Amino acid sequence: MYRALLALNYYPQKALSAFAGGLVRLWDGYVDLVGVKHENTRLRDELRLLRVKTASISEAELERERLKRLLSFKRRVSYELLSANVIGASPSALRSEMLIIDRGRNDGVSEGMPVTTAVGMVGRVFLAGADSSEVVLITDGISAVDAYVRRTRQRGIVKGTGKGCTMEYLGNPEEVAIGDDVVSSGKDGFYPKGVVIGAISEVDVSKAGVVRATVMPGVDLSKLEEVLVILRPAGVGVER
Amino acid sequence: MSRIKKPLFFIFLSLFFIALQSSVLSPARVGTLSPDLNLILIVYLGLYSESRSEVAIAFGNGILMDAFSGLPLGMHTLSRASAFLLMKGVSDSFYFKNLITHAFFLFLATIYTWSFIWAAFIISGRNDAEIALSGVGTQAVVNTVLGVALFSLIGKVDARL
Repeated sequence: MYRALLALNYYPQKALSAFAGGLVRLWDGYVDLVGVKHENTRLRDELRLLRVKTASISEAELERERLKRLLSFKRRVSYELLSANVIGASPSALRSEMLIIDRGRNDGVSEGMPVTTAVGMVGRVFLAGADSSEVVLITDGISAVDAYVRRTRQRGIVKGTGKGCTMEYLGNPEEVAIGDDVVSSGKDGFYPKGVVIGAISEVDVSKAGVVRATVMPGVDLSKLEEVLVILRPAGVGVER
Repeated sequence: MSRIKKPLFFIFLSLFFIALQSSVLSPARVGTLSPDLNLILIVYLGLYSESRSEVAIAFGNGILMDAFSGLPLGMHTLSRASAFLLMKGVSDSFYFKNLITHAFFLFLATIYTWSFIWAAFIISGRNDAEIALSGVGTQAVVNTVLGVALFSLIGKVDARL
C-alpha cells in the first residue's frame, strides 16, 4: 500500500520540486534587481535580461560541474550506477533523515540498494515505488554501516544519530585520529567496499576504555540535488 | 453533488499538503519552522466535519505521513486519528468558530500529537528518533499562526461546496 501511495504522489511532488526551483530563481532575480531600481527602463530591462542569462548560465555551469563529478565517479567504479534527482524529503519532523528520489522499480531500483555521490555515501533505498523511492540517510537512527578507518584499517560500525554519525566498536584509540577518512568495509552486505562515508571530527574514550568517534559525513546531506544508486550487489570495490 | 465534491476537495488538499510538506516545506529544508499542514487539515476536519468520509480522510492523512517518512509502525496514523477524534469530541461541547479558539485547538492538537508519539516511543522502548521539546513548541506556534490563516481559506472553499 505504501508503494501505491508513493506512486500516487510522484507527479505532484516532482511538479512541486520544479515549482520550488522556479520560485527560488524568481526570488534571486528580484533581489538582484533591488540595486538598480533608479536606472532607466531600457537599461533596467537590459540588465535584467543579462542577469537572468548570467544566473541561468552559472546555474547550468554548477549543474555541469556536479554532473561531471558524478560521471567521473561513475567511470572510476566497477559497479553499475544509476543517476537520480532528489525530488523530496520526509514530511515529518519525527524522521527528517529521509530523501525521495525520482527512480524506482521501473528503473531497476530495489530496497536496500546503496545510494552515494561522487564525494561520499548518502544512504540506502528504504522503500522502492514504481517511479520514485525513499532513501534513508546514513545519519538516520536506523542506519548502520560496517566501516574502517582508511589509514589504520581499524574496523567499526558507523551509526546514524539523527544529526550526524558516530563510529562505534573501535578497538585501539591510538589508531583513530581526527581527520582520518572513514570508508565502508563492504562486510555488512549492503554497502560496497571503499565508499567514503566521511572524516573523523572527534574521538571520545570513556573511562571503561570504550572508543567512540564522531564522523562528519563527506557530503552535505541537506543540499543534495543529484545522487547515484548502486545497482550492482555489494562486495565490488572502487578502482583506485 | 456536495457529497462527492467535499471529500474530493479534502482528498486533493491532503495530497497537495503532503507533496508541499515533503518538498518545499520539508523539515530537512525549513528546519524547526516547518509547519505540519496535514495536522492543520485534520484539526479543521475534526472541528468542522459533518460526514463519515472525513474520518477516513483524517486516517488516510496519517498513513500518508507514515508512508513518506519511513515510519511503518503507524505513529502518525494513530496519533492523527486520535487527534481527529479529540477535536470531534470537543467540537460538540465548545463554541469554536472564532480566531482564538481556532488558535487554541491548533496549538493543543500539535502538543497532543507529539505527546502521543512520545508516549508511544516510551511504551515501545524505541529510541531511533529524537523529540526535542523546543522543536515541538516551535512547530506548535508555526501551526497555530499558519493554521488560523489556512482555516479561513479552507473554510471559504468548504462553504461553497
